[in-house]
Amino acid sequence: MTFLAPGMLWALLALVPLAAIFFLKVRPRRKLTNAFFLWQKVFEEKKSSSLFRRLRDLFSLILMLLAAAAIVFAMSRPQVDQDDGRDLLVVIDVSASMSAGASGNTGLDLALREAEDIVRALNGTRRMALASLADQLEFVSHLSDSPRDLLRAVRSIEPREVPISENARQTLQEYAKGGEDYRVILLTDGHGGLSNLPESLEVMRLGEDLKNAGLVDADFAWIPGQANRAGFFYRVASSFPEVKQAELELRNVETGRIVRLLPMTLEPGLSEPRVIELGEASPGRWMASLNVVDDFLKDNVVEMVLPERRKIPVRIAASQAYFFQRCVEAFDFAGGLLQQVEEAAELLVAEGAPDGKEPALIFGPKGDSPYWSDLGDPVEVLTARAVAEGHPILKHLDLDGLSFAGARVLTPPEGAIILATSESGLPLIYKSTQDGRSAIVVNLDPAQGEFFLSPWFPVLVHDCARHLKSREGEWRAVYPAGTVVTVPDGGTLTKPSGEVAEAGPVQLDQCGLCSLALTGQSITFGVSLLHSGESLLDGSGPVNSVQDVASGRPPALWLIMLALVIITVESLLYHRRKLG
Amino acid sequence: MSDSSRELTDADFIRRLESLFLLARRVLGGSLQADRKSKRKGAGITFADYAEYQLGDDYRAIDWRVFARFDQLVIKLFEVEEDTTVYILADSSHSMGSKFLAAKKLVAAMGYIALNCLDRLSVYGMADKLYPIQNPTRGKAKVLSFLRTLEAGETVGTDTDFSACVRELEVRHRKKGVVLVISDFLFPGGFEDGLKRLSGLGHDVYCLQIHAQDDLSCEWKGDVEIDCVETHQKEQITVTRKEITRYEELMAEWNAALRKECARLGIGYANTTDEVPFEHVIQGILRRGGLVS
Repeated sequence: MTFLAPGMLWALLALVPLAAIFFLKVRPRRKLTNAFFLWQKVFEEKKSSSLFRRLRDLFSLILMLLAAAAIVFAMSRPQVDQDDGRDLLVVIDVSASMSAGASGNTGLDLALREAEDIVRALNGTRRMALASLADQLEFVSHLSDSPRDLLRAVRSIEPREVPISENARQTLQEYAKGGEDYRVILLTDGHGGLSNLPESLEVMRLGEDLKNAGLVDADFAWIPGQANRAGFFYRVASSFPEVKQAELELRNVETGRIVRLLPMTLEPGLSEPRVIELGEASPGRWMASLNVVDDFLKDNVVEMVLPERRKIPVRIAASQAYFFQRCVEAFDFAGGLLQQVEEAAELLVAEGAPDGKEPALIFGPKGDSPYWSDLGDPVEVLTARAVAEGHPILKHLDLDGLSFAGARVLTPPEGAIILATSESGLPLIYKSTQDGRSAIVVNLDPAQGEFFLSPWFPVLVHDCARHLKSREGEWRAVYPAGTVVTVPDGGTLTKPSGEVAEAGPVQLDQCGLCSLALTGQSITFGVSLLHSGESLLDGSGPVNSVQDVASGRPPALWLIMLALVIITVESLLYHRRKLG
Repeated sequence: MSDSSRELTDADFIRRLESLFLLARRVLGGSLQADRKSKRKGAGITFADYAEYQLGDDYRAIDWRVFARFDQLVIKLFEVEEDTTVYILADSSHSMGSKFLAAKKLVAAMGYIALNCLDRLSVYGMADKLYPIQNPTRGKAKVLSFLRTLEAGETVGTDTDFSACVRELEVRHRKKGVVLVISDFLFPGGFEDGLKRLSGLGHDVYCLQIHAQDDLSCEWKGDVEIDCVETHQKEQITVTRKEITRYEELMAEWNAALRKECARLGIGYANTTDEVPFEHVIQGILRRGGLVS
């Protein structure tokens, strides 16, 4: 044990005058009496307690000296040498699995209590920073030696519903390798993919192995080619050491009807994925529940939304309509995406200059159109080059396998988005919006180069149709928490908590139902934990490697409390001395 | 002498004494000495009775007229008109410290009445022995000197020995009289022996017990060092409610024993505290017809 302020020990000399003052204080008051002989009878009856009375004064003196000594020692700030005193970066795992366990005793509860103990042991010379770890490593307190600020920061930490991301894990590793001036301590239950951690990172494993089973994969979608038939895909994981019986319940939330109730046997570990097919499925909200008594409820329920099966009505205006019709029919049959119509079309597939007002996919520009100008002669295209890499239209397309025979010299209108060009810069695929009508122009003659026989013909039609109708991202019924989705331009995503995200990449960090508002349509989908690393609470993961670290309330505080207790006892004795 | 120490010779105080005397005359009528008739028969001037002549009787007292008529020798008896001696034993021990002035006022009142009734008055301070305050005297003219002497009196002695004081009184005064004891009667050696001896001497004995309020109850709490006001014996004790109750019980028992002993011996008894004005005490006694046992 060392003293941070040893000079205060000189205050022990104050015990001497304190003892003197004490004797003055306990000296009884002198009272004159006319009836001393009567009091003598009282004395005789009290003789048995006179020894206690004398010892009481001595006891009081000892108590007072003890209290004073405790206060002096507290002021000298004793410190138990538990570690090397380096600054600390305490990282608290706030991923979903930290919420497992009994209320008030979850992994996160334990971690927060440990963090508070470490904060309380700060001695004024050591500093500490605090961070939370889930989808990212987020600092909640800068390096500080103020226990009050740090405790406030600890208490501000909330559990998250996402797993630990790889990005967050790597950031943590970088901090752990950062330097020798500080220690990095991770407070975690050890689950959620915390493998390959550097040795410099000290891991404090919290809690016990828990018995849990949960849904770790799920999806719900229409079965292609089968009307009103949907399939529920799922996978479960169990950290029960033994085989466990459970039930899987699939409920239509819209009607409240339990559609399927499947008894199932949970084997330890990850089970094989399975699919349940449902006839007469209806679009809307659905819920899958794994009915089992375990330590973590969050992964037992999956909320999903089966989207409406809505086809895109397509009108074909082409000289060689047969191939286009066959292509649309194929998609109508297979997935129900496209449907050929003559009226009330929402998409036009055309050759040459398009008529009408619906969005259009235009092959072989010909004639006058607001979508091009300066239309010239055909040129030979040797190679095609993607200008907008990763664009939804080009994502599944192999430009090298596509012949742009019959491409003509043209000038796209101002503001057009060029997606692909020839080696000479001739626009081959571009998108333009004129008077509110969007069109994708594919600068080739479909009658040449065996375009209709190319596997990229239906791909191009499919992706352009989805893009023009803003349906290139067919949204899943449910996403695993932590997934990053891209909200299309002009759209907004409303999370379960009501938080609204604008267009761009958005992380789904809250379980529940998300609502996506796009131009002319609204899409709802579910977000659930669905992460085997967060559900398999089997004690795997990094072992406890934390070195000694000072924690708990400082000795000075205990000494002060001891002094208070002593003073309280002495106060009672004093009260008896003075007030009887 | 300061004004505060002249309370007994203050004109106002003497007026209050005179008022008490007048009250005494009105209440007790002519039975206040000088004209008080003695039970003893002797050489007075007022005829009382006849008695058969006995050998040795003064033949001058033979009523010859009766002998002439009835042929029988009888003598005339006359009432003896005598004065009474009033002995006041005022406790002057240090235990009377706080109530000594009140006690002195009572002594002054009783002495004033006695002197005005032409009784002989002797006043003694009582502690480990008797301390004369007023040697035997009589007559209204002695009132002022009596009050001055009383006023100068202070607490004395090292202890209170009631029995020794009574024995000393017995030695000093053979003549029977009225003995008035004014004290708190907190005698460590007890009061029984003294009272019994006084009563046995044929005196008319009256006890006037005076207490300070502090004697009757205890206001102390906690650790105290109790110091005897007379002997300065000391003892430390922690006073709690239990000790207070016990002390007050003992005090009540002591006073009850005094009252019982007085009743047993036919001794007049009254009690008061130093907070009660002395006139009220005297008036109360007079209205009851004197100190009644």
